[in-house]
Amino acid sequence: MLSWILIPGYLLRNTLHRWIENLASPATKVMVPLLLSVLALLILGALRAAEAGLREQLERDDLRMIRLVENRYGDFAKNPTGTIAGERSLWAPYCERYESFQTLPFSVETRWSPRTPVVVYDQALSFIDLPEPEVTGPREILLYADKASDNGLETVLFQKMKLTVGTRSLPNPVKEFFDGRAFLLVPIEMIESEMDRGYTHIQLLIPPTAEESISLETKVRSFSLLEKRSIRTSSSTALLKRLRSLLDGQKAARLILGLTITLILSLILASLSLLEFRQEAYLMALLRSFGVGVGMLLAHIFLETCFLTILGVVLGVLLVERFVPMGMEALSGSVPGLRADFSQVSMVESDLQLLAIASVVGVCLAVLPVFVGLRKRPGLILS
Amino acid sequence: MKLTFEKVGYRYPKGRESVFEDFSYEFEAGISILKGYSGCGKSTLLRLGAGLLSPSQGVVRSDSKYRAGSSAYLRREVGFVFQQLNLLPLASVRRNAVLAARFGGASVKKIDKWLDVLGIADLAKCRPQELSGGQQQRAALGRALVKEPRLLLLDEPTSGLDDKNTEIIKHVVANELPSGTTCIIATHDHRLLSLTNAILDFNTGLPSSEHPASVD
Repeated sequence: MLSWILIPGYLLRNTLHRWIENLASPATKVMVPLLLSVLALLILGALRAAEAGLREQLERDDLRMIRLVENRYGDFAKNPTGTIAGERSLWAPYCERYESFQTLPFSVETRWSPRTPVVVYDQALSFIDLPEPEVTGPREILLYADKASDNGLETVLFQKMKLTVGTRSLPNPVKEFFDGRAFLLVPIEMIESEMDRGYTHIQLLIPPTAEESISLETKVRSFSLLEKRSIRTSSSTALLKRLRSLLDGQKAARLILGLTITLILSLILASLSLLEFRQEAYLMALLRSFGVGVGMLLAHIFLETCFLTILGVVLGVLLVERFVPMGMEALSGSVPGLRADFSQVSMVESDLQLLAIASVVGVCLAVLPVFVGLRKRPGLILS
Repeated sequence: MKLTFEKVGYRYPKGRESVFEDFSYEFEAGISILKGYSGCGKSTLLRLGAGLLSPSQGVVRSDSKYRAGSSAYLRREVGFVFQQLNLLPLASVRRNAVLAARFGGASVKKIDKWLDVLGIADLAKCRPQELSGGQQQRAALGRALVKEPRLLLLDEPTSGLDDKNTEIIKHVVANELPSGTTCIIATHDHRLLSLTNAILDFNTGLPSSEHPASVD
């Protein structure tokens, strides 16, 4: 057992001696991974910040929202309550949020507009406080207007009749659908008979994820085609697809970055290791003539390269963690356009894993030429 | 140890001509000398015998339980003294011997005896670069001997040495080797020829089956 410690012990001593004699060599082996890891972490941080921005966009309700608009008249406009409920049961299960309402082909006069649209609502408008189930009778007529006070009262002119209605400030997405303009909300029970003349049915579908939004839009289009309906669909799925492809691009960028680090690291380390191996070739051959195996010598060279590379990477990580945000923050005051918020540039486990994998693969590739050199018969060197 | 060369030929990589071809010979226990001019293939033959080179043709066999050229064979069976640069530069003479003994699975108890026999006991703590050429060669021989190898290969062991150092080496080889050791010496030093009658003369031409090396 002692013999298997003595030879590695001698090799370690020889390595330390070589480092002291030629400090530039180990310093280069540390500096190259250090600089590469700093560069890689900064690029990865920037990529991640961009990715976070994209994900934030993908999470926005209005981007995931699919708007379905259909004009209904004649026989199709009859029995609106049943038809509306049927469609709700069709699409609502796919949605995180589902809203539906109808606009009528006539308007009312308010102080904001002489042609304020009339919107019919039922229980599908989830944001409106509905009366308790036991309360019977017609529900409130409400007016939404951006400038009206919440829970106030307004007078509107409806079919030459003056009506006093309550005002509400309404949340998105219905408010957005009308582009902030005022509209009158009438419960379906109060106006169902008028709807036989025709109405426009509007559904706002918000699935839980961007992927489900893209998939649901396809379902809706297929449904419209099969049922021979003229449902106009508008959504941001084209943008969602583009955002998703950008995210896929991020993965490709990370892969390319990992491969680049591996390639640069392995090329530089291989050159240095081969240079040192050639200087040490006689000693290696002498040790092999004593019976020291290729495996032990290769393991020693691998561990030496691995140690210096890991040291470089760790120093690089510490440098990025401690000093880069400080430096960037200091520069942000003087460099135009440089953001002071570097929270997104902080490292995550996946970045460190990528760096570790790239380093280990780089070291393995770097010792390959040494392995080839060690396979040369020692008798050819000891001549 | 019995070391047999069967129709062995060797050509260096990228070499146009073979160093020798169809060389057949059987080395028995005892001392054998390969003599001849520089470049005739003596050192190559030693390296082939140790397994440090692989023959281009033919086979090198030994009665060792280990495969010729394997790490175990070199570690346990072979002691090789090269013409120069034999010693590990960062280890003292004694440390060099300890490494060889431990790695070869031999006892370290006899190290001091061998250093004493070779006349370098007082240099045990010196590093190779502090020694003269003769002292270095004796230290290298000492390191080879502490393993008590069954095959001892000496490549020009007295090259550039004075008579005193040569006599010491001659004395050790002639009188101190354990019985059963096969010792092959490649040399062009006439002072060593008195060690044995088994002399392969390479001066008569490259040894081959058609022109076998002469044995005096």
